Amino acid sequence: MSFFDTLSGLSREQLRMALYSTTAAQVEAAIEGEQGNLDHLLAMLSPAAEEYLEPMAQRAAALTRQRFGHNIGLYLPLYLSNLCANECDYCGFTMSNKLKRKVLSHDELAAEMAVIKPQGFDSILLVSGEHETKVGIDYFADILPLVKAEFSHVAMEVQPLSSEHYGILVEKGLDAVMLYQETYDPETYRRHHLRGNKQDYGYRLESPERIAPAGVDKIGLGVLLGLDDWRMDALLMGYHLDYLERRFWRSRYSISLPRLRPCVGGITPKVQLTDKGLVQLICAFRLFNEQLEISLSTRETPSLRDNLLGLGITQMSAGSRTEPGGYVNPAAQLDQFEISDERSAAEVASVLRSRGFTPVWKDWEAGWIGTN
Amino acid sequence: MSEISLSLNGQLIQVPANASLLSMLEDQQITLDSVALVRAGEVVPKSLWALTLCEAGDVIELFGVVAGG
Amino acid sequence: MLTIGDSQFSSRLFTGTGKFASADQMLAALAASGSQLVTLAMKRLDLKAGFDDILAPIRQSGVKLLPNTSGARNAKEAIFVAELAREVLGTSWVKLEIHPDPKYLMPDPIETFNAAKVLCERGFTVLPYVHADPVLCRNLESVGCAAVMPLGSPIGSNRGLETAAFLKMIIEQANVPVVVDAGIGSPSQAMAAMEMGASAVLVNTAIAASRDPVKMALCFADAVSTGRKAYEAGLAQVHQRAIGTSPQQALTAFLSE
Repeated sequence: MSFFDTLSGLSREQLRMALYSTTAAQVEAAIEGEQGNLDHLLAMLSPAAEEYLEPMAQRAAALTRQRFGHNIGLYLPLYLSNLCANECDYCGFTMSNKLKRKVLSHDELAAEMAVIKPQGFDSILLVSGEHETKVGIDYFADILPLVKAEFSHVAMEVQPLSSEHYGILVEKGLDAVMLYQETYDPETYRRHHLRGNKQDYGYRLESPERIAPAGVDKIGLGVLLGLDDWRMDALLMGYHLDYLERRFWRSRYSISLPRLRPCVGGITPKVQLTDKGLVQLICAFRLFNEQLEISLSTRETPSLRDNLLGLGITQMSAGSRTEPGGYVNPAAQLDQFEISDERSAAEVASVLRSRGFTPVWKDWEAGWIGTN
Repeated sequence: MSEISLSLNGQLIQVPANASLLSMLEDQQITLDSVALVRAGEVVPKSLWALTLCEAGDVIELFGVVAGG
Repeated sequence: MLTIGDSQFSSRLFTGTGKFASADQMLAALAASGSQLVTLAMKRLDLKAGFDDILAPIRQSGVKLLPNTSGARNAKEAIFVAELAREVLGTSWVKLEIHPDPKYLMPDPIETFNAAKVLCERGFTVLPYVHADPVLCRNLESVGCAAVMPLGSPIGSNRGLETAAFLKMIIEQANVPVVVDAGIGSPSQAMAAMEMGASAVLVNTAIAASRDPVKMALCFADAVSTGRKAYEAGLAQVHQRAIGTSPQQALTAFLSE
């Protein structure tokens, strides 16, 4: 049974009612309870749990230190292309936006890496808009060896691909795939994805079921917080995570918690997620799953990022540019989304150290045999 | 009528030359519905017992059910 | 109801038929246990000595039969025994057990995995008896086993759930029923396994070797049923510390700044 079927079998209405009628006693039981229990996750995501942020944070911090030590992984996004054949009303790359479109050539890619590499990074996230014909498997397979030669851990955040294509990319050195559902509500999804392949909710939803069997080491889930009721979306992401971990137990999982940010021509959130809500999300997921990696992008402000550090975050980007060619030419204006934390990687690393954390510039290096 | 000899669970027995596996088992008074018959290392399905003739020098083993955990 | 493969069971107590003083006593104990799945072993017949036909009365009682492969020391032998059992009993169910070690009867994980793969391909409903190894159980599940049967402690030892921490992981992760097999020596241990979330337990020695096997079978039936109900009701949590809603605001103080 695919996750699409699992999700179709859930009563969203019942879950919503349970979320909004959770009692204090249920929250307390959830905080103390065992890992991996979806009812407990629901309780910790409920409005009732807002009164318990401090004990949740204490427990989340302790679990994170126990599992991950005082390490915070650092990575950078490298934008390959802003071509996009989708119309999504929350994204700066949406096809109707008038902006200069480009795809990095080999030379431009090498130039970007030459700026990133000296900063210390050994873990990279390749990002592109979704343009199957111009930035598809052939392009990815072509450039991946060049990137793998420079970075020991290579993640991708691009359009969903076929099983066969994931297999090809793993052979070329792909380690991780980030593929965010944006929202688990099909109706909301439909309203925000107006043209292009991304309109296919089901194909996107089932992508991790193609990614994991291809031997991808890490799979990232995410929802764009604000498109729909973030409590429901986060809860259903928990169901997705549970489904995947049970079946594809050889992979690691990570989540991202991006809040809807202003972008060129973009929309305002339907449901505003406050800083408090973001803290609740991070802590709830840590208490739900102690091995889960949680990544935090530069969408958030420096002071908030610094305060969230200890609670459950395991990975963060620093010094990001969110447009193709942005590292070589940082003056460009048309980012995919607005960056709030403009600090350089070195500055962020120094803040990490001052707060008692060790910046780690690489992710897992699967280099025992073969891929080198 | 001539007889042939074969080994049944380690004992040499004599059976008529044209005996089937089924008639051999009946002669030996084996409870038919609770045994499996192995001939030359291969399980012979019950459905073939009546159709299969014993051959001289056959090594036949019978297995049955016992108590166990 | 517990579903394994194509069969459903209302009793979550499975029983073995070994070590009883007599066939009559065994049958009485099986009846008292309410068990709907009982194990049997296969053996080369000793034609001189003759043998008790325990099969006919067990069949009459209507329970489902689960032949085991005990005595097999490797995958090849176990597959052979499973084929024999299918021939004799007309069931494709098999409790796969392979123990090359005569002292502790520890199951061989490598041979068990190899045999399970072949038997699943041949259409058997395979319930492998294994050490409480979470990764092994996942691998067995992935080749198509209908359930996994991790041990609580060595066969016949009556030492209970010495593998408790690992049984919990297996139960948490499994997508097939988990039957705790071997080592359960008392009703309280069976109940503990059920409270933990095991789908069923398999008990033999603790019943057969008791002074009054029929009475003990009843006790196990009660314990398994109670343990299951407790699991379904949801055990209240053991609290390590109190949760206050407003202790020192160390980690979240920034939110109110």
